[in-house]
Amino acid sequence: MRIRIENAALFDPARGLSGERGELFIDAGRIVERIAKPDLVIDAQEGPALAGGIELGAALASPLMVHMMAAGHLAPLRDAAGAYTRLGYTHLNVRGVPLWAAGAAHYWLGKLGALDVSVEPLLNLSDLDLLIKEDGGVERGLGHAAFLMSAGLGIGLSVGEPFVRYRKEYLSFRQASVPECLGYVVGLARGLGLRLSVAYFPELAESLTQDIARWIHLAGVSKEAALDLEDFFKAGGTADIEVAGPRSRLGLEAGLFSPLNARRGEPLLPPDGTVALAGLPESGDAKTLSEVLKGADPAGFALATRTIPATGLGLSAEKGTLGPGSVADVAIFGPERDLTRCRYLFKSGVLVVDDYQPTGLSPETRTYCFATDVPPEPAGDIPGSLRRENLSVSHGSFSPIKEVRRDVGG
Amino acid sequence: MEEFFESVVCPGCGCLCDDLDVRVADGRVQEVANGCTWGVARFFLGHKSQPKRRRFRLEGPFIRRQGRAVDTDLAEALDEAAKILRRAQRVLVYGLGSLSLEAQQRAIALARGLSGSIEAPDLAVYSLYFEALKSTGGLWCGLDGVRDRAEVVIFWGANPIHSAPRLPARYAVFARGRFTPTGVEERRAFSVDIGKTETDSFTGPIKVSPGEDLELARGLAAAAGGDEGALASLPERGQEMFSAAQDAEFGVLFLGRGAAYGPAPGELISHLAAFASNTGLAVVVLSPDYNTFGLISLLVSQGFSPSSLVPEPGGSFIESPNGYDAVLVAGADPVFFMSEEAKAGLLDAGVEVVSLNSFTDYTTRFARVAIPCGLFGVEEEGEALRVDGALLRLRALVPSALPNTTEVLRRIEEGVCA
Ligand code: SF4
Repeated sequence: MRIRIENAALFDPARGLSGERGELFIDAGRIVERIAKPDLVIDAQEGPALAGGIELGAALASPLMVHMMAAGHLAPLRDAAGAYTRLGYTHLNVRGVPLWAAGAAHYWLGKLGALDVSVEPLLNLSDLDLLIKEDGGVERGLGHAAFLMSAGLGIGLSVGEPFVRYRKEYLSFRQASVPECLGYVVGLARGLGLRLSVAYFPELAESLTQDIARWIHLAGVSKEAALDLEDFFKAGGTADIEVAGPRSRLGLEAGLFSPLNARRGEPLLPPDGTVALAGLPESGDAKTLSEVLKGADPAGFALATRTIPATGLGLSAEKGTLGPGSVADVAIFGPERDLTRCRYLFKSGVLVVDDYQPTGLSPETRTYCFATDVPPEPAGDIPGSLRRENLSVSHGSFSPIKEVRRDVGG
Repeated sequence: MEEFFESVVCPGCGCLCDDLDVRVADGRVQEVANGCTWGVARFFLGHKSQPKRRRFRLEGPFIRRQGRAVDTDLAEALDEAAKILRRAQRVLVYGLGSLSLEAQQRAIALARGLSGSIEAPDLAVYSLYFEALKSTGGLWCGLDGVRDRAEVVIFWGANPIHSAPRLPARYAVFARGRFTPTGVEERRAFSVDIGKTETDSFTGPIKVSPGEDLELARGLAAAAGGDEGALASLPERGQEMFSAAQDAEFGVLFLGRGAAYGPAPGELISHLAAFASNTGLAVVVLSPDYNTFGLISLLVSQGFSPSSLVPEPGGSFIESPNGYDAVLVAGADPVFFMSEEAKAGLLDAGVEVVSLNSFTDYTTRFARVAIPCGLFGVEEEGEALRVDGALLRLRALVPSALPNTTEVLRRIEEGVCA
C-alpha cells in the first residue's frame, strides 16, 4: 500500500528534524522519497510524527516474565504488547536472557503481534574468567560470544556484570576487576564488530574512556551518572536509563555475583539528548507514564526512544529514523502532543493504530539477529545441561528471521 | 527400516531430559538409552509408575450409549463432544499438564469460549506460590544453576523419585556442577514429608504429621524474618535446615504436590515463600506432568489470576466431581484418584465426561465420549517448558494413525462455536 502522511511535525534527531512541518511517504513497507498516487492519505494535523519506538530492555519475554505477571508487576502478554503499540513502539528487545531461557524468550516474543523483536543473550563473564587475563583470551572468547548469539538467536550480547567476583575464597584467583573485564568486553565487541550492552555499575565510570565508547551501550544508568557521562556520549557511547515502576523483589539466579533483579530503576525522565529510555510501557498505569513523560518534548522523546536505542542496537541504518529506505515504522501523535497515546501507528507500512484505536491488522514483523563470520564455539562446559542441538533456538513460533550486520555507529 | 534419534527430549516429567537416544525400527521404539524407568516406559507405551503393567491403547473413538461404549468414527465423536460441551452450563477442562504448549493453548481457548473452569494437578501449588510472590517476592533459577551452584536443596512435599526421577542425579543432589565439583559432598539436602519416602535415603528427612508442616513452615518464616524465639522452637532438624539455608551462598526449595494437601495450603506456601525469599533460596515447583509449567505460564500470560486457579478446599474435581455438567479431560486420569464415593457422585450427577487420551484408563471407563490421540514426544511433536521455563521441542519418533491432540481440540472448539 502507498501512503502519504501530510501536515506532520517531523521529529527525527538522526536527520536533524525537530518539528519541521512536512510529509512522509510509504511504499511496500519502507519509507520512500515520494510517491505519485497514494492509496491512503493521513492528515497528521500538525501532530508529531516519529519513527516507531524501540524498547531496549523489556521485561516481557524475560525469564522472570511469568513471575512478574503472577505477582502483578507486569500486565498479561496481550495487554502489555498493546500498551507498546498504543505508545507508538514497534520494536522490542529483551536483554540479559540466559542461554537456557532464550528459546522461551523467542517463544513469548513470537506472540506479540505488531512488534519486531530481538534478544540479547546474557554474557556472564565468570564463564570466561580464566580467559580474561590470558594472552589470546579474547580470540577464544569470541567463539563463545558467537555461540551465545547463534544458539540464542541474539542480536547482540548483554554483559550482566562488568566484573567477575566470587564469594568463595578458594576462587579468588579467578576474580577479575572492572578495568580488566571492560577491556575484555571491548576486545570481544571489536572482534565481533558490534556494540555490546553492559549493565551499568558505578565502578565503571572511571574506565569509560573515549576510545572504547562506540563499542559499549550502558544499560540501566542512573540519572546522576548520565549527567557525568558527557565525554563518553560525545565519543559515540550510548546508554539507557531504566524507567521502571516500583522496585520488585523478584530475582533470577543466573550465575552472576548478584541475582538479576526484575526491576532496578525508579520512574525518571532522562536528561534530554543523552540517554535512551528503557522499560517504559511496563512501568505500569497511565498515571506513572504521564508522570515520567511530563515535560518531555517530542524531540527529546524521539532521541530517547528512537535514535539512541537504534544506535545502541546497531540498527540505525533502518530503524529509529524517518529517512528514506528505513522500515516504515511511523508513530503519529495527536496535535495536543500527548506522548502517552499514539494516534496513528504504521508498522512496516501497515496501519496498526488508527485514530487511537488498534486496527487488528497483522503487519509483517521480524526477529532481528546478528550475522557474524566468527565460528561459534562454546568455552568449556558452558551450554550446561542441555545438549547443544536442543539448546539452539531453531524452533518456536517466532516471526521471520532477519540477520543483520550491526552498525556500531559513533 | 531402522532409525536412530539422538538427544531426544523425554516427555516423562517436568525435567524434560534432553539426552535420550532412541532406536526405532518397524514403526516402533526398540531401544531407549539414558532415561530413567519412568521415561523409558513412556516410549514403550507403558505405565509411568508401574512400567511392567500392561497398558491398552484406545484404538478408536467411542460414544457411550445406554451404558455401552459404541465404536464410532472421529467426526461423530467430535460432534458429540462439541454438543455435550455446548449444552452444559458448568464446564470444566481438566488435566492439560501432559500436552504440548500448542495443545494447551487450544484447550485454554476452548475453556474460555465455554466460560468454563480449568483445573490441573499441581496447578494449585504453582498458583499458591505465585499468589505468595505478591507479598514476599522471590528468587528463581534454572536447573543448570541448581547443578552448578546450589549448596542446599530442600524438597518440601516433593518426592523427586516420584515426580522427577533423574532430578537428584542430574541437577539437585548428586550432580557435580561448576562450583559444586564434588556433588553431594558439597551439598546439604533435606526433605519434609508426611510419610516415609525414597528421598529419605539421600536427604536429612523431617517427618511431620498433618498440621505440623504448617507449624514448621510458620516457624521457618518467622526465623527467617529475624525471630530468634521462633528459631529456637524449631525441631532440631528444622534448625539445622534453617542454618544450612541461611549459610548457603545459594540454595533451592523444591515444592511438590504435598505442599497443597493440608488444610491451609495457601498459608503454608506463603510461609515457605517468605522463608525462601528471606534466606535467598530459589523456589522451583516440581510436577510429574511434563508441561505443567507451560500450562501455568500460558494461563498467567493470558491474564488468569493465580488465585482463580485454586479450587476451594474440598472442591477439586477429584473430591467433588458433581459440581459440573460436563468435563473435558485431556492428558490426565482424574477418576483414578477418586474415592468410591466421588465416583458414585460423578455417575449420580450425570456429569458428562469427554476424554482425550492415548490409552484406556479409569476416566475413559466413565467417559461419555472418548477420542484417542497420539502421545506427545513419541507420536506427536510439540513444545514444552521445563520446570525452570526452558523451552524444549518434543519430537514425533514413530508414525501414528491416531488423530493429533491439537487438531482434535481445534475441531471440538470449532464444533462448539458452530
Ligand atoms: S527424569 Fe523425567 S524427563 Fe528425565 S528421563 Fe526420567 S521421566 Fe524422563
